[in-house]
Amino acid sequence: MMSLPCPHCGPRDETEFGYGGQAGVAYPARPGDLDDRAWAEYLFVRDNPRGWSTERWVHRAGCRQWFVLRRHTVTHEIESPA
Amino acid sequence: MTADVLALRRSPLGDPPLDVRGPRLHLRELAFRTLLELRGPTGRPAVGPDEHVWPLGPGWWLVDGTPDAAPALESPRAAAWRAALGPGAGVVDVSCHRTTFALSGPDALLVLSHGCSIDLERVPVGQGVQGVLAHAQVVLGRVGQDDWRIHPRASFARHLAAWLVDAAAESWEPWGDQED
Repeated sequence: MMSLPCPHCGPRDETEFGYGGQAGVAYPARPGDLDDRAWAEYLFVRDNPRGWSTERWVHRAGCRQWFVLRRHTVTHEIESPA
Repeated sequence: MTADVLALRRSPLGDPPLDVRGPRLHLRELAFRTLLELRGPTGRPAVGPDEHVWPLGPGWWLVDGTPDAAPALESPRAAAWRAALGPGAGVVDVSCHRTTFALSGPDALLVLSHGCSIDLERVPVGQGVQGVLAHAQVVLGRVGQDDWRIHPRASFARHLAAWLVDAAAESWEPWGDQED
């Protein structure tokens, strides 16, 4: 069981949270200009790093706030984003 | 008519009322409390002497007050809060959303910690947390050193009551659990 640091509630069990995928995926500035391949990349393709990953989480059972943290996908070390 | 409607109400734990007492623990349901969720105030809202207010998140509060005397679609206190907080704030009557358990006695913290991974020892009197107790989402408020309020969702009340009675098995007996 991971313990995740909620910025509002403090450290809580992983089961209280929902996972929101990779952080920092910006909506395209001009989505109409994208071809199908670029649009599909934006919608579906995400990093799958072996190492540090920047992710969004929501504290579902607590304050229900979204936040960003960095997690090491091998060791599950957690740190706040730089 | 009014009395009839109030008589027809059933709390989530229904009849008979939950009231279990041991030498080191007292668990009971406080039925039909008036629960209001406030959205907006960044500072802790001031409440009356019979009320408690628990922080649920940033700008989000649960006010736990005495039951209303008359049946109404919305507690009149919701309108009073709306007027007091002004535009931009949200007030919702959630009295039927959750029910209220009172758990008190020297073993209260011990029993809660059987099913809750939050470090409740560090919650000061008058403060509350929102989290998970025995797989049920609850709001926990500390009204005294050994006196807690638990607000489970109504549909989880029966599960949580059963779990609490079971988890506190040693607290109900004068000499502890002597089975085997």
